[in-house]
Amino acid sequence: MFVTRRLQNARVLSAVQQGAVLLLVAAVFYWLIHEASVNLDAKGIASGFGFLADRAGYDITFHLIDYTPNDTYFRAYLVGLLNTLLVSLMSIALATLLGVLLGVCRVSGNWLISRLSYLLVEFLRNVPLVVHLIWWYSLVLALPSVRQAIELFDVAFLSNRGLTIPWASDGSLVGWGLLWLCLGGLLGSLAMGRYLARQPWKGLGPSRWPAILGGAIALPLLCYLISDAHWKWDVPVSHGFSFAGGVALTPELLALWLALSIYSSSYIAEIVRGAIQSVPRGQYEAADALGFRPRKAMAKLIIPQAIYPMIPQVTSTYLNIIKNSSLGVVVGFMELVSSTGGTTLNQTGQAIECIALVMATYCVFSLVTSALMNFYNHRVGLRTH
Amino acid sequence: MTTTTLSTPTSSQTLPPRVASRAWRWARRQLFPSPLQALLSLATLILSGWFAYVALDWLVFSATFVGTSQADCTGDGACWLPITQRLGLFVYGFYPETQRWRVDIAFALAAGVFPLLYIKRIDRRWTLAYLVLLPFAMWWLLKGGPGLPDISSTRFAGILVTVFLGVVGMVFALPIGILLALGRRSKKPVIRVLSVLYIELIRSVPVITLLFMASLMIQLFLPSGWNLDILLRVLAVLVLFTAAYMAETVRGGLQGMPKGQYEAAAALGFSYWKAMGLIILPQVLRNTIPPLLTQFVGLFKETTLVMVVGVLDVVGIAMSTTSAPEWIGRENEVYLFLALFFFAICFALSRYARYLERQLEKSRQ
Repeated sequence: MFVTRRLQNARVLSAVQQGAVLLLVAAVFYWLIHEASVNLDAKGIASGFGFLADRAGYDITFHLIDYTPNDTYFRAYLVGLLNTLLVSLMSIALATLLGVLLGVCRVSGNWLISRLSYLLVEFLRNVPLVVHLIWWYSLVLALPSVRQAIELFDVAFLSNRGLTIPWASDGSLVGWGLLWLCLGGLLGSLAMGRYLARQPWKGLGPSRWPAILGGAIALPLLCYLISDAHWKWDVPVSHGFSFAGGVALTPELLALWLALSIYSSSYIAEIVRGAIQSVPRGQYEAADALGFRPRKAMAKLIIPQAIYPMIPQVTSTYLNIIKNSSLGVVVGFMELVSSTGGTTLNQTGQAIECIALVMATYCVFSLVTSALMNFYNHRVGLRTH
Repeated sequence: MTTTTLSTPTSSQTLPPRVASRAWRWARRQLFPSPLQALLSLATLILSGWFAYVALDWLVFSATFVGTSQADCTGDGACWLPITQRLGLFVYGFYPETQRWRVDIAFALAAGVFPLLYIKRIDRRWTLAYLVLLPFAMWWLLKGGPGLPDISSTRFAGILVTVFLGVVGMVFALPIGILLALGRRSKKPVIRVLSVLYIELIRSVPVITLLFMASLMIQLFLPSGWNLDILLRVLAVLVLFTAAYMAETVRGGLQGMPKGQYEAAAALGFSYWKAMGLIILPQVLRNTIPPLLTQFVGLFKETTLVMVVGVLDVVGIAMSTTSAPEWIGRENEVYLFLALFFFAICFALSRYARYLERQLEKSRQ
């Protein structure tokens, strides 16, 4: 009697229900962990991340940091991580470029161009990424052999071994250069921001971009001049069956980069089209009435308003690019999933640890990207409202 | 310069005047508003015309459609023989030829869902019952059971697997997605936190890691002796994965419901489940049919990833075709066929989703 009356109390009932759900989830997890430990014991696999310090023993053709099969599994993980980041960043850059171009063509007043880009966008986005990828991979492999490599402006070679491009003879220079470049751009932006904050007409003053570009060019140059480093281009030379010098982007990397960029560009094109069309006609007319030239109206009124609704969608597209780079496993590009989630897992049998490591890494990417975009979103939101 | 040649009076006099002037006005506004635009239009026209000519020539006019082996492909055009010769493999996989009618019926049942979404006169309960029974009917037809001979699922491959995973995955993901969406909006903190954790975790990792989990890890978690079919394992992953995304779509629909609906349900003294089941969810689901259909297109494309863990879907069959010695060097034809297959289905479905959305907007006004 007492118990039933107590259960009719909504708060008690709710607490009991929640406790039951929690208990159920805990029981399922306990059962799974128990079974896993029994099975692991039977196979003689010690759980834990200790295996990461063991010798990896497999080779990774494309690596951004020094790597040999004698290095540890942890080093192989780092190589995979950097490869994931590299192909994602390359794809984000190219996809944005192509996507904005396609999106602008989509809203073009020219009927022919807008229809053709509509067809292209729909074709690209309705074909699965895997199909894009295996197709591009077969196309890259069908390129002429090293002997008949296609020469691009006498400095780069395109063959079925990939794209060989010139690179700095001292690799560390590139890293330092990129660091100073980012720092210079940031300083330029900050300085211009301080200057603009004192202007009466917020948002209508000169653009920040010249200052950012100036800073990004000036700081690395300055650092280069005062340091004793010597920059030299390492231009690839054909040696019959192979190339000497330069850096080779492997066929796997090329195929993944092209497929990922082209597939994702169709999504960005749709976002750009939606954003431009979402700006009300009245805004164009208002800009006209205020005597803005079309170019200035676009730069100062239309694009700033179109960018704001684009940010969340573009963020999720960028995150999708990072997640989709895991398809490297299809063509054998050694990124995070195919190095740690594939070869390392198969060699060590540490399935739980490897997959947990890969998943945790992707969660971190996701959290960091969301945090950055929220921060930017907040700032843009403050400025437009 | 191009505008002047096109606007000579002779060209408009030979055509009936009104049509000509209307077409001409349209062309001038859309294609030739300024000399620069005219140049651009003309260049695009020539380029796309040339491309269409070359493509059509390769695809159709110089292509080989009839024959048995690579030796019959003598023309410069495409060689469609790897498709025509292996069409049965592409569609039915290794399914026994005498039993293929079962696959045909399963396909027809799956395709039957889409018109059902459109016909308004049918009671929604019938649609729901159809959706609930569909996966079981498909499994019974394909795998066998009472009245039908059993067929090993190792014989499943090709479009059969793609359609099965897509349709069955969607149907099972829907209820889980709805529960997760309700959980995320629940006032009970434990349920809310668990739902949010699940949804966000699944959404932040790539599907491939989940598929690897299904193929390599699940064995560790099951008592020895339990052995789940790999096809069912990847199906489970696709269901759990899609449910997380679907939860967000349904949550959007729940948030879009006017507050008055919830208050009306409370005023009628409905319990939570009664209010949801009889008042809120029917409206939410009707409004979310178009985005759910878009999600189905996404899932249909995601099914291609199962090839990574060794399930032979249509992409797997295509890859085995291009690596078969007798069809070597015909990658472009096979992959183009694959691309067109997905394009035809996904494009049609996304157009259909857009159409349903417009119908919904009209009915709201």
